[in-house]
Amino acid sequence: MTSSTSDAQLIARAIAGDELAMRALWAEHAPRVDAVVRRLVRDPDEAADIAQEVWIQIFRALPGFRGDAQFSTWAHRIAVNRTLNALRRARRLVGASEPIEEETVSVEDDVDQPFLRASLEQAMHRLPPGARTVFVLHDVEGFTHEEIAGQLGITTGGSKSQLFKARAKLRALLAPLLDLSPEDGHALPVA
Amino acid sequence: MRSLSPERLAALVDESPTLAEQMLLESSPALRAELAAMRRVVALASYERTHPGPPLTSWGALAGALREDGLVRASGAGAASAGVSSAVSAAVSVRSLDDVRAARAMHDARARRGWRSPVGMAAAAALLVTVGALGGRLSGHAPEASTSGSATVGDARADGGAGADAGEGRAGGAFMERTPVATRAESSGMPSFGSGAGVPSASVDDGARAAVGVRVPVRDGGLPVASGAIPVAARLTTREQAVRTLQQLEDAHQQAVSWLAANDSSIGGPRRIVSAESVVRDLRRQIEVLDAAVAMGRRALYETPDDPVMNRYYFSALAAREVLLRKLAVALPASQQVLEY
Repeated sequence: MTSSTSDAQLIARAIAGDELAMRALWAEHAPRVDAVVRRLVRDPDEAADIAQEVWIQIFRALPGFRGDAQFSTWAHRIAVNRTLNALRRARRLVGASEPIEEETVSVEDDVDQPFLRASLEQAMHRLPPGARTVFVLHDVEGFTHEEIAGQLGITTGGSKSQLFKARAKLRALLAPLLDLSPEDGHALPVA
Repeated sequence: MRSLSPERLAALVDESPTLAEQMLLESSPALRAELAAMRRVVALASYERTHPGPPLTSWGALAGALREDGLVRASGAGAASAGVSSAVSAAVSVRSLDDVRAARAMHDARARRGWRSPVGMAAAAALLVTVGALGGRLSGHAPEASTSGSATVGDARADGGAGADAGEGRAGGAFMERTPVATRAESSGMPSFGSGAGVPSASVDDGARAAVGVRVPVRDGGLPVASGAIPVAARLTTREQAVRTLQQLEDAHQQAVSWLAANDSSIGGPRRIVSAESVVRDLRRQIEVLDAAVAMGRRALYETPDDPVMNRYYFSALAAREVLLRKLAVALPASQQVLEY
């Protein structure tokens, strides 16, 4: 049984109100759907609330799912849209050019990949909302600048500008972790 | 041109440099290192996409909201028994009674086949043992929870939950403080969980539950919020009764396990001195065991996707895994967090 077939069966049952099927869909897709919310929303409690709203919206909209795309893609889109709407309601997407806290993230001696990733998440939340949103959508979630521009109501040039500023600031925030030795200019491998 | 701005270096991750920029990069090791660091930031971000980490939502809270929204229209396994269609559109069509009967017969046959299959039986056994063992382990870490029969909800609230009596259903009362479900139940006049086993629970207009004598207080959506009495010898007469009872007890079980996980005194507790490293190591080991159980359960469900018992074992394993992940997130040092599992 393929994943898409399995999803189709679960979706059919979920539309009919089958709690088990709903739960199975949630269990399968919650990590990725919730992750995009967590990355876009700074406050953990607010992120949890929005993630729950996202899932309710997913199940509400399920009868309209036509199967043109994978369920995961469809649900992911809903998560992005719903989260951006929530942020817009809170007017936190407006301040795209807010100053950025310049301090670097905390550093420990045993720098390893998990810690680096945790630090990236911390550093992302130090970006202004607009820059963070563009960075998450482009570099993490894989949206194009055209898609981002459409989502956020900005130009593709604006999207690129925000992205490059975000990358530059993240690089600065993560400098102690990315640079092995400032003297010789070498950096830690990341793969 | 003497240097490149950070923003321009960030752009060069995606774009080609001009001739002048290329020459500058070739002449400056520091700039090249800077560009490499920028690429690592982008690679790290891309890596995030495939490693999403634990979910923010919990099914318990979400299910309550879905029921309030009217999106959950039937008992899960009951709906499942009405047959499964591989076509999405078929699911919304109204089936005739004959269709339902035919689907039921097909489902029953598939379920029987599934239980006879080695994978199905092995998965069920493994999940039962695993979840049971983990549940026991969780409760074993909180000895007060199973022995202090006279503890009250007030005690649990006062001491942070260590003294709550999970076995008699008061754990549900303490858990209520921590969940939206509980808040709704309390505000809707649910009985006190400190009333003891001899006090009747809220009466529920539910034929199935009445028939089997399960006295499980139920909030408006249908899930039990605490168990005043667990049936010892239930008189089940229909499949629907059995499925519904199973669901209620499973939910109560999961709430109790969640409560124990949230209030487990073994981490940093005064009675048992263990290192944070050993707690984390134990949790990782338990999660590995559950991962194997979940994988086996998934394989079994591919063979018998409608089987209500297999579904519940599978979800019990998933729920236990989620509880352990949350415990792991708490147990980790402040500088670390659970990013993937």
